Amino acid sequence: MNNELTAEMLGLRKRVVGVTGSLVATIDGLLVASDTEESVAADHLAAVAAAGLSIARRTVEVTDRGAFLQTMIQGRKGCTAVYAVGDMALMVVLGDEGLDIGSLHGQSRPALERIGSILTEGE
Amino acid sequence: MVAVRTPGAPGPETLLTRTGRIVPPEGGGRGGEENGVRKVGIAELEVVRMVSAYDAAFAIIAGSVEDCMLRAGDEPQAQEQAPGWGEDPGSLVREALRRADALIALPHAVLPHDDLVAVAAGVDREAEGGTPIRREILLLADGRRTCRDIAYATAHGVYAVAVEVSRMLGDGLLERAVPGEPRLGGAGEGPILPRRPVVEGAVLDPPQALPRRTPGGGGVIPSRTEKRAKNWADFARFRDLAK
Repeated sequence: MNNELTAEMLGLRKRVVGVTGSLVATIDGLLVASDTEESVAADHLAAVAAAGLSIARRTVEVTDRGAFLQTMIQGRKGCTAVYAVGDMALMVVLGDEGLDIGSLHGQSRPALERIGSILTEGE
Repeated sequence: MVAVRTPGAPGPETLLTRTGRIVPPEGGGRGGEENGVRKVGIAELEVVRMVSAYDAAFAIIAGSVEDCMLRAGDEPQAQEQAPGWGEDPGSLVREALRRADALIALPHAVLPHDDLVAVAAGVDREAEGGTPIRREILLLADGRRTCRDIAYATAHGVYAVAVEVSRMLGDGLLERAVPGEPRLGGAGEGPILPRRPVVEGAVLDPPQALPRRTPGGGGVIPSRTEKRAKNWADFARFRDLAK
């Protein structure tokens, strides 16, 4: 599982211009794997992203917006995207100011499906 | 040509805000050229836009293009983005090609969007460097960043960073890096299984009858029960005994 998962994470950073890192965590906020800069506390980010995803899912539900896709949080120096990976996991993608968001969404969908399969199959 | 935009090179907003030429608006807003507090004149603003356009044209030639879009001058989006004086497209392309040739001619030329660079072994990233741009590159070269990433972080052009990185590779200050493996967390050992469905009405430990107290069950001294008062006269007797 580990090699396939890390290959997907590295591949996303290589393919999408502006992606600076990513992590995969369980829906409870437990870290599965991280490919982030040293300055990013991956454990904390996993926990915060899980909490945010829960709120975002609930927001989509109460506003009747259909199936949840992703949240995108933008700051002055870049953005953070949180994607649901099936029902039990999530992926956070970090990008800088120049992140090609269209390319990210296009590339992330198939990557999320593959990561979902990897996580549920395991070793 | 009044503007060239690409994810491969920092745009005017990044160059202006990161260098403090424009202070982003408080509490929100996109922080674009027209928002926030501008600390540059029209002429300097135009120069930054043109520098950005030339750098973006170089980045497009040096990198790979998946998609592109041409916006004509009468489109509202084009007018919002670049109300500048404009540049001859031919000279823009010629300059981009000249820059690409100049970079390739360097002995340790890097690919600005592909090659990851790290500080060479034995080099002190705090002490070495020299010029300001070299010091910034040394601080940011962590093996995860390309020249394009460093350009965004430092608000320099991609071409300027690529040339400097190539020279620093030659000087032995930097080295090419291979992507580091992602780190595994505590939940990365086995498969992530869905939760078992909740069974309605199920209880883990069905309650039995409520516990009943029995005399002496709590370890009460038997003799104490014999001293229990039966009427007010007994109370008086016990009080005398206590004295």
